[in-house]
Amino acid sequence: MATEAIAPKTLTMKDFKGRVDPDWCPGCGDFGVLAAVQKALVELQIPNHEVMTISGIGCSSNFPGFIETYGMHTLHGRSLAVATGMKMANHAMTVLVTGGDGDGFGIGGNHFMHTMRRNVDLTYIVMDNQIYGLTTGQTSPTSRLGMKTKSMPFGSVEAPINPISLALAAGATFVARAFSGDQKHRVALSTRPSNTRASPSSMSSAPASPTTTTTPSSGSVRA
Amino acid sequence: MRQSFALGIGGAAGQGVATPGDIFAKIFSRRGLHLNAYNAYQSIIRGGHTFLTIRTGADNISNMGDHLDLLIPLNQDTMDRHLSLLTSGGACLYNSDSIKPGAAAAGVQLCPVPVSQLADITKNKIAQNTLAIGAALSMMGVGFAALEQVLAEQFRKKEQKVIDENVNLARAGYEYASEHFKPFAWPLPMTDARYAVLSGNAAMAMGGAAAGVKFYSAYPMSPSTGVLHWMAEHARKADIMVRQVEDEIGVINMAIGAAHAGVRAMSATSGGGFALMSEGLGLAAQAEIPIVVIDCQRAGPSTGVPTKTEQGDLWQMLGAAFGDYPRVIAAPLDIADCFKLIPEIFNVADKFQCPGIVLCDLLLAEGRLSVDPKELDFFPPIDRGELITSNGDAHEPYKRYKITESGVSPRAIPGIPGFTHVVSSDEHDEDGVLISDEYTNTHKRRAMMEKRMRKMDGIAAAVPPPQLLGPAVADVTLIGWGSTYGVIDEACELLLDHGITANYLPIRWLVPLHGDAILDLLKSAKHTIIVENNYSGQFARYLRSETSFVPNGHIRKYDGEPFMPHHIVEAVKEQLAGKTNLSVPTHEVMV
Repeated sequence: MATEAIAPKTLTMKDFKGRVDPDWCPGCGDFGVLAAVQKALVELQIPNHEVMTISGIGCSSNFPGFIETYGMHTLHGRSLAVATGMKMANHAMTVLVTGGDGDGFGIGGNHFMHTMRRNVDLTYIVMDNQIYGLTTGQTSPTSRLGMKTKSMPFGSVEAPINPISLALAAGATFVARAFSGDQKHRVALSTRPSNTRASPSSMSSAPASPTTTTTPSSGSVRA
Repeated sequence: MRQSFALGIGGAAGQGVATPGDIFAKIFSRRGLHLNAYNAYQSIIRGGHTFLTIRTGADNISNMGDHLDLLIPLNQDTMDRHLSLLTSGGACLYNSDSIKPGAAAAGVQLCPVPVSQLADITKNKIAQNTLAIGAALSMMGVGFAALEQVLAEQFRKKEQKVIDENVNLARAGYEYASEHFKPFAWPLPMTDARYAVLSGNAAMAMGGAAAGVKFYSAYPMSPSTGVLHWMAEHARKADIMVRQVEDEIGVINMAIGAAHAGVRAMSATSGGGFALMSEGLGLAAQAEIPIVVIDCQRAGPSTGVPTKTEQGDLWQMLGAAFGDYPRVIAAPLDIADCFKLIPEIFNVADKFQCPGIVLCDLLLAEGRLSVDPKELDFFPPIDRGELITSNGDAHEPYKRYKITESGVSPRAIPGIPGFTHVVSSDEHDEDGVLISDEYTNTHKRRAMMEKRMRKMDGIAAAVPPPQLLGPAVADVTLIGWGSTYGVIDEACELLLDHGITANYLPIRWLVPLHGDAILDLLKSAKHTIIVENNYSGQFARYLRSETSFVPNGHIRKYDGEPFMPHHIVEAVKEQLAGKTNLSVPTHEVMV
């Protein structure tokens, strides 16, 4: 039985509103990213059944539940692997991958490097707030040197990675960084890779406000 | 007692044991003979000891057997290790320039070949191999033409000059043997049958292709890599997406992504690789996405003995991915079964939207066995289960995890309009919303767990119970699982020669086990013994945990080498004599 064609209608933000409202903390930058992605899909008029949103585990990985598309809420660090399999099996889906800095650059680091060099046609949006938020505040691979968290209360002694240069070194063909508070820029970035099909694209969104504010101790930490 | 001929070729890794093995295998199978080939090798780059046993005959051959008729040592080390095992009627063909025989049993024919007199060994480093092949075939009563043809094929990519050189060398060996050595008392028979020779890995890959697998991801790991190689080689012809990826975690997660997109996805690995896949298996289970994973077991734990066989991963499979979830686990009984099992397990995995695990092992994966092509169904029945692939009918809001009587919820393929939903590794509601997102509703959690586990009833009905083979009444009943099938079958035959009647229960499906059916089959057994290739009796423990059944005895071999029939025969005899209830056979030779 073939799929019946649907009479085209103009998609609006309402079409992409998820079944559940996000439970992110007030002021979290993830709200801005969600809105930007929805706006981008509206701008591009991609039907929601042609979009697959795939995440790992974490605050920002709750994303697929908050947007009305096909979605997969997978395992910590493994979203890019699942997304690659999905895209290879069905080229027609527009594949969006969402997650945080711990999910993407910590446990997901290996898949991140390989997915970039593989140049799969997908869009990877990392909501980087330099912390493991869902588990209430541990150091992440992008946490500043000296940043104090619950897991490193004396300050991180490890230098953070630079996701942008890592992506470039791994061979990613579209790499961008935005600030979640800057809606226009975010939407523009979200629509660009879909238009140009330059892939994989990796975008890093800095938080609207940091979730933890720490200052390095006065005796500077040596990495 | 079935009539068979077994030859063993040994040498250091890199000396060229494999090529003579291939040549013999081709010749035997073209004579319409069954054959079994088992290669004992080390995880080493060069040196060490490699020993290939090829056993052939007109009757069905299922394992490497108990003795050698012909030993071809390519180095002194092999001569030292194996000569003493030859019995009367056997022969040893060797390069008399470089290898000296030790003491041999009475009736063993020593066949020294003066290689430097027959070949220019400065030009041809493996002259001794080619001479030995010719000599061996002469002694077996095989016409030279058969060898000439196979050599031409073996070297078809080289110049004619090279082919001629090798043919002449082989002929020199052939004629030397005709003049100097006694032929074997039992010349190699010939039949009209035509068999294919397959490794378990090739068989599983082919089974996957026949089952309609469209996505195969893998990471190289002995002894499963052969599946990846076959898949990669045939990807374009068979229209399968084949990917070698960064690690086993990537492997299983990609397979899940592809499976969720609607294609059949499969992967093969070994114990260590599966350990990395365990979490991913849980995702497949929780999200109810069907995938099939093959574990080619090898000696563990950890890196273990990478080139040796064991049946040690049963408990890993039973405990994989933590939590309670429906799944199906099966162990193929022989190499033909490696092919047949794949479409069957996919049908169950697809219909019940759960993971399927194949517990193979090195013995089957890398062993080679002749298979009757007529036995293999290349167009097996395909059941994809309750898939929604179109939006044609009007419908209520779609619930991916709808609570149903069977526990199976119809599965919409991503891309279909009107059926958008989210699948997740989190516990979820009928429409895919995480239950943790609202209120962690105890009723919903319970209902979802029961929905999933209800699928096990359907799975149990879809999978046949095991069968008792051999006479209905017997002195001893042997119970084994997976690859011990062939050797147990032969052991039962040999036990009869010792005046002991035996029947056997080969277990193919581990989950569901059909414990009640097993108890029923065993209720009138006089003396039961569980046979397995591991230390702790993993199947024995599992059977006991499912049924409370305790056998009279155990035969466990965990030295990395497979059972030979006499290991089982001797163990049964000592147990029936009351000497022990745990027999641990040791391999007679260091390989």
